[in-house]
Amino acid sequence: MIEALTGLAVLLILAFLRIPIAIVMILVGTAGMAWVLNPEGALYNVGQTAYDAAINYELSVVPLFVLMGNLVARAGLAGQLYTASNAFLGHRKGGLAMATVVACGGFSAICGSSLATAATMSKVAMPSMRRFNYSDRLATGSIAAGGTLGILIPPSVILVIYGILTQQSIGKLFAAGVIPGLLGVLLYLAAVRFVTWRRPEEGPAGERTDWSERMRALGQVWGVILLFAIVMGGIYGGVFSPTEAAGIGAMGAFAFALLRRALTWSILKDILLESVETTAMLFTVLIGALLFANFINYTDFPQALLAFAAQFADRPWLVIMAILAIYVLLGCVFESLSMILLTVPIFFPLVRDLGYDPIWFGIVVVVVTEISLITPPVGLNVFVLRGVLPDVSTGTIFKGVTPFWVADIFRLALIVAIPALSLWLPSFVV
Amino acid sequence: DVVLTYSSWLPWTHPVNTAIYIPWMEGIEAASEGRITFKRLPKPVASPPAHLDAVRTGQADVAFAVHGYSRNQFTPYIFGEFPFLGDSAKASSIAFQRTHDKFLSEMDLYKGVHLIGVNLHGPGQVHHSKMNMTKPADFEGQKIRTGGPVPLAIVEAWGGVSIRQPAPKSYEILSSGIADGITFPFESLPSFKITELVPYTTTMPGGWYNSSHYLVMNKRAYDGLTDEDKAVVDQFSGEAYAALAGGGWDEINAIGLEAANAAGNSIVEASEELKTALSELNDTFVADYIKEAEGFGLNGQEVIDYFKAEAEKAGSM
Amino acid sequence: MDLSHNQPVAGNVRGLGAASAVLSWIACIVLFGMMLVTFADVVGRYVFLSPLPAAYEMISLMMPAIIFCAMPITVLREGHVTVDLLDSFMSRGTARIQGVVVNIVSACALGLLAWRLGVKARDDYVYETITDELLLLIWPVGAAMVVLCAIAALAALANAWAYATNPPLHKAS
Ligand code: NA
Ligand code: NA
Repeated sequence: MIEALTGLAVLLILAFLRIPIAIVMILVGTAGMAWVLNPEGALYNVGQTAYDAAINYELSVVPLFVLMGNLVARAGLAGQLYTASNAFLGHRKGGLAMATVVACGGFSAICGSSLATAATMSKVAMPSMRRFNYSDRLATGSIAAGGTLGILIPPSVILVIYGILTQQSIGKLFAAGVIPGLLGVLLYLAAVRFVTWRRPEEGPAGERTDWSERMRALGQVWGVILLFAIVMGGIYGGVFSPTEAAGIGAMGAFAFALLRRALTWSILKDILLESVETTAMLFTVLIGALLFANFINYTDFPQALLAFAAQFADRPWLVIMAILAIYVLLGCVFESLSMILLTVPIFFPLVRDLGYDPIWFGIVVVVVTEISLITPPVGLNVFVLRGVLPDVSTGTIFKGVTPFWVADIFRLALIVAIPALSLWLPSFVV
Repeated sequence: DVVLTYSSWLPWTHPVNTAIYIPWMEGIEAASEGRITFKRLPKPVASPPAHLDAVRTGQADVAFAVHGYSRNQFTPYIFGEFPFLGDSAKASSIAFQRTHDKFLSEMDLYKGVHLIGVNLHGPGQVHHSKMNMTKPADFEGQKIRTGGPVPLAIVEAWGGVSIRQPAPKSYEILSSGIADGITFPFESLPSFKITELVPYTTTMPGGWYNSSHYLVMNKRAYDGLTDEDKAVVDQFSGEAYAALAGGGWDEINAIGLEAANAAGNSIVEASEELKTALSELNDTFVADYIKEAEGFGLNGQEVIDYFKAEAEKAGSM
Repeated sequence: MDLSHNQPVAGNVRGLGAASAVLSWIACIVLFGMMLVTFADVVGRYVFLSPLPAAYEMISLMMPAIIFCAMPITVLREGHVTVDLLDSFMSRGTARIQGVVVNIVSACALGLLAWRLGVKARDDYVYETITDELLLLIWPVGAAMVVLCAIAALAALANAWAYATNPPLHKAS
């Protein structure tokens, strides 16, 4: 118990000293194992863990979904999504921000990563929101928040990793993410509504589009629909496994990009380079998190936690509340992947033993992870926007995100209170 | 008092653990009057094939693993995956242990670890979503999830498509239709929740294939035990272990068979044509084994004959 | 996910920049190949009733190539996720010291990985560990991981050196 808590404390301190989280987890995990187990076993475990994480068929979904996301980002699909949703919503008050949210939701259906969704949509949506004098706060807030949907609406890299960690069906997890994702879109729309009701000047109305133009714009998004249909239809139709779906999706996105003449050698090289760099980064985090989890595995902490939670067997929701509070707190500091990798091995057995549905818990975990992406001080989606829009300050984006954050907390409460929101669709998946 | 860490790459609730390894640990804990206790790690310390290394290097004190995971190191044991080894896992495990004792124990194959014992998982069968197999040609074009080289060789020899996916993915690949069938012992039908997905089982007397396992302990941990404690561990080693593990497999395979019967599955014994065809394939497996065993200074035929004779003896006990 | 396209910190250190660029291209080619292998495997399964032989194993082995070939360049670009909560309180001098320390610590962690992967590769060599389907000896894969991880550790050291000898330009924002 003492060992695990000490390890966690050291982990947090070193992370705040700006040592990369992956590196901190590698070092603290190794030292912790040497302490609890024995130095020899600990060192051998380091080599074995890095090796197992790298030579791994199942995890091939990670680079392939990342590649798919980066390919669709360049294939011009995001622009068409935005044009279409803008045609329907743009003339309303705050309409362009609403269109951004809807387009983010649509883009999430073909992109497995929140960061890629936010980065792509910012390039598409920001210029027109600027043109119509939207406040930077509302504009960036809607992109940063809308982008988080990328990991909830399938496909999702994070859901895949949760599925691998907990041995749950990825097909079911993907199905489970759909309704909470759509709920997210609705609540974000309400958040935009709220902001423009309080301060109309933040989101002036744009141009009205006539119906023939609307239909034409809608017709342009067939690419997104087709790609989504190929990936999801292939998974649920039994044509390929979710692992293979990532490769097929990437291939489909590649074909699209080629057809749209969006690819030159240098663009393709950039896309691949970005994808492999992200992959290397994610796997360093993965190796670190696995080592830290192995350290915790050798301590008495998991058993102590289970024994503690068992006292609440008649009021299991108390445990869930405690876990959610921990997640929202951790979400301030940790980025999505390390948060999932660190906490799921610890909390999952607890939640399962209390009789909760593992698929439902997966969705809950992803929603709190989405929240972490826009919670200060470390909100990766906010950082992504900072990277794309250097003239907007981090503070402005975090302020802009606040109404969406509130919407997220409300959504989390709904999803926790009504498991059917997550579990109804997967009940149709064999 | 000694605490030994046990790492399991199967979940603790898996029948293999509840029927075999947990009773094995509890037996030692009781027999040592609490001097030896096992700490069951919540999560495995490494991937399944790495468990031998994990025990050797002190990442865990005790673990079980599959000989097939370290094919080059354990070549002499590979006949433990062959067809026709026997319907009783207990009898064949005892025979397997005796074969190890007679031919293989002096070969220093378990470098750096202390071997507790070896066992077989009992007859592996062919389960299909749409049909019972009646002839080799029925395998043509069928996508069958296989584990290990023997089922793979059978499926491919008869024109089937071997699907390589991890065992825990079985439900997913069968329910979605990525695979039409699967090779497993009966135990795995309920434990992977696929009893309803593969309602057609074609059984082969003695098994279509088999799989050999072993339980090992970290050498330093074993050497560090007092003589009294060593005696307790030894009492649960060798043939005693083989009987416990084989008997456990028989028990859980029977539960799997019961589940398949209860689900109304069609369980049909293989036709003479299939038996003959498999027997011909088996001859090539044996010939390959004899050739490979030579490299270890072993007479492969003698090893297999001894095993068969001991299995006969153990089965009639 | 262009989180971190800072300018390379130590990309100009003797050949390290060029070496990591070449390695990252290899990673790119392997990733593209992995996409094609997955596609060919699925198409082969339906169209030709024969999946790509050993696709499972090929993909497993392509994974470390992607990860470790791309690792040096992510280190050079300092692409790892950090908590920069305290950044605004730091003077330029402190930031410089911190840059040195962080990179030395990173080099230690990457060095640790390289060392232990090396021991693992040595064991795989001694025990002649082979792969499941193609029955290939696995130790050369491990050995390659060691070399690449060591290059990544060197890249972190080069970053530390760059911080120690130059003001941290890319932190100017
Ligand atoms: Na998505
Ligand atoms: Na955060």
